[in-house]
Amino acid sequence: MNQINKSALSANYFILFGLPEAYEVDSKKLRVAYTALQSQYHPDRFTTSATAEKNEALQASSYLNHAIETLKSPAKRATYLLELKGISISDHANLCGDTDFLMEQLHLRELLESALNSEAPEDLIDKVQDTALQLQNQEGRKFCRAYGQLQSLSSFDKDESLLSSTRDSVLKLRFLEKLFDEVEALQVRLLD
Amino acid sequence: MALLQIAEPGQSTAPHQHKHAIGIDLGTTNSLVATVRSGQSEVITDKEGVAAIPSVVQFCGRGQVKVGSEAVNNADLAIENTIFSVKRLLARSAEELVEFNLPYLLSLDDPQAPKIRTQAGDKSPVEVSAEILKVLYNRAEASLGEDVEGAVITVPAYFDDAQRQATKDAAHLAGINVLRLLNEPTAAAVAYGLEKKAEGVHVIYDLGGGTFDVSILNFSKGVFEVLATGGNSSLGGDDFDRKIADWLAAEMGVRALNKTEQQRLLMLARNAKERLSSEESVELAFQFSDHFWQGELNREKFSEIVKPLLDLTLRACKKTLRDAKITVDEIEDVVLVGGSTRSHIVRESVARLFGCEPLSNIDPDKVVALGAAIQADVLIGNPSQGDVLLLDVIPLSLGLEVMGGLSEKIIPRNTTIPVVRAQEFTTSRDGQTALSVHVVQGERELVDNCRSLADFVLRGIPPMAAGSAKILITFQVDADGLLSVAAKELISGVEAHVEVKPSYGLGEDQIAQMLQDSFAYAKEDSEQRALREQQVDGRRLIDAVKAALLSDGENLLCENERKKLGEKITILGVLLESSDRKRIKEAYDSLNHASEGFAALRMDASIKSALAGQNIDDV
Repeated sequence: MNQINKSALSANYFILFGLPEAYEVDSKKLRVAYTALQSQYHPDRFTTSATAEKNEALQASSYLNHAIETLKSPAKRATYLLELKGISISDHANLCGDTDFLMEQLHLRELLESALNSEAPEDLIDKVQDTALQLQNQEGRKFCRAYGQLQSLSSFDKDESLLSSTRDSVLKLRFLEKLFDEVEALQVRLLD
Repeated sequence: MALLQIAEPGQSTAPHQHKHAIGIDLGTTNSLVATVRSGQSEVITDKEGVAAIPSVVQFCGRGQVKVGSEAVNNADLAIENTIFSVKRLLARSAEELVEFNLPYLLSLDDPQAPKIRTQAGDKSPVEVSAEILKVLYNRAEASLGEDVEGAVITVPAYFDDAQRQATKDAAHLAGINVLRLLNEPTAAAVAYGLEKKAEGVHVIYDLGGGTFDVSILNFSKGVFEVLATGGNSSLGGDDFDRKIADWLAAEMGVRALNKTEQQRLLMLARNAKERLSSEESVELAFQFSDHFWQGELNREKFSEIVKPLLDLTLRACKKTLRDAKITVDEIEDVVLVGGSTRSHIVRESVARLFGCEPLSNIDPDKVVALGAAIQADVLIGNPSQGDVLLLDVIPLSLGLEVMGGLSEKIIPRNTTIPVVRAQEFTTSRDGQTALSVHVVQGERELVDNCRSLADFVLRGIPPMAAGSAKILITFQVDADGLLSVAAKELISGVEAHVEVKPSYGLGEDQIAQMLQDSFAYAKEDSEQRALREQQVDGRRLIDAVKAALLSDGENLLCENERKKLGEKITILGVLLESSDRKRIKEAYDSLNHASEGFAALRMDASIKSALAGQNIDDV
């Protein structure tokens, strides 16, 4: 039977999956590394083991699921990259600076709400989804740039304006992820 | 090496494979047991070569129990002692059992754990299920020798926590070592995926007698990953029969049939349905009271009759595709499971939806048991199937009740298991020393519309101001899909922990209903949510103003001002009991506005007293 080698389960999700610590993630490589590790640590590999070892497998496998979910989501991934540098962004932080962005979000949500009563709801939803996707890519690139510049500094948190730019991007990415959730919920509702 | 594989039944060929494990399909109508012998999965049959055991248990005098066809054959003689379809009764409340209108006497002394009155004593659905499991297990032991290591038992993907727990309890009661609970569609996928070595996205369409499950899985390099699961658990082949029977009754022009006639008509309907799988049209005849009816049912008419039901399953498929984020052209193949998929109309509709001919080359009645046997073999470490890994998901969201009777989702549905999620909560009142933790499962926003799984209290929180305590609540779902919850106050370290073990479960149709409702009522929910939030805000404001009046009212306000605030509190308090959000909001704003001056006075006073070196906490 397998042995659980806890030290192999690195605390850093990027090291865990053998990926460079960066915003851009090779999703195929992530998938392969994840399944390889799950094949090793999943509780199903320890059905005949002692209880203590079963519990460890449960934790290890849950940890892997948490890690891949963090790296799969752009907003969570960006948050995590900053966390690794000791910078935390609370859920309640306000996005006050960019009124244009907020207005656009408001507009997109209104569009979604009107979709249910419109004649071609699918088209409207697709439009919102496309715009949100564009914004997500754009914000991802912005985050990438600022994050890269911060990394080239001798001390990561030295440049306040770069820092606030990354923070701003993370909050926007979170906004967009919530919007995607709403789009999905609406798509499911339309099937009823 | 074929020569070396010749062996007596029950003896193993491979030298390292001296262990056996079994897969059990504990079905609503029929149950099966299968195993892997010499690297081949096979269903274990009785002496006559029959694989399926009817899921029927009969309790006779002197503690004698009959299971399977033996019980069915004597059913007429002892209807109230013969339990059919016990799977539908697993983890149900007394209230739900009563609604089923069962032909048995119920013992409802404990409404949380209802039992069936039999001449062998009161039996819970778990005990009845255990009797079926014992028979299956004995059959396996007789066939394999005494070395059965353990069993994988299948459950509908849509089973909630309570139903899964009940299934596991039944196995324990039967003395079976449960290696794993496995979702039925996942089991079917394992059987197909491994046989065909087909990588890619598989859709499993599982239409049984009473339930419908759909799962979408990706199979790649020995890893089966469930992408999403969905279904409609109040829908199955039995409903098709009922629809046909209704149509027949209308054709015959009869209104009132007695119980026996109804039963006969249902049999006729089922028979017609089954014959239409191979024939274009069937002749039917029916004798009731002194009438005789003769007629015909063709495929076209049959399709028309069952179309509304079929459409429901197709809609569930589309939803699940959305959840899995998969489009139709990414699908490798579609697998049919369950006896009801033998109908041509089911096959045609599924083929049309997915744009490919569905597979059914493994017997749809046996495929679940076979898949379970393969997984069981893998779990006990037999390498014959290669490195197989199953990554499954939870079917329904898990959450907690928060203020206002709302459900806060901690783990959304279709999350890969095992999973741990933690979330921080806080107290809502000053000096609160206990926190009630109510765990629910379901998609709706209001707790009342979700299934309640567990309720426990975290005590011993040191008294603090509202909002200062930090309570971390952790949900852990294991590979069987079973939940445990822990709560911990981080400042004091006080802990509470429960294995979520409800005494009764949510009905399958209730889950389906809950899911359907959650979409249908999403709008109503959001209005209700706004109302509840307004009520919570209102209560908070009243508490705050009352507390302030109590401590500083005498000092800082004149009698008239106190009276005014008191009145506004009363008005808001009364309105909070109503569901008029607009008026609550007005009363809220009015009290809020009226108390602003008082708040400012208190602030001044607190600054003064702080400057005077007094304890600011008392202000």
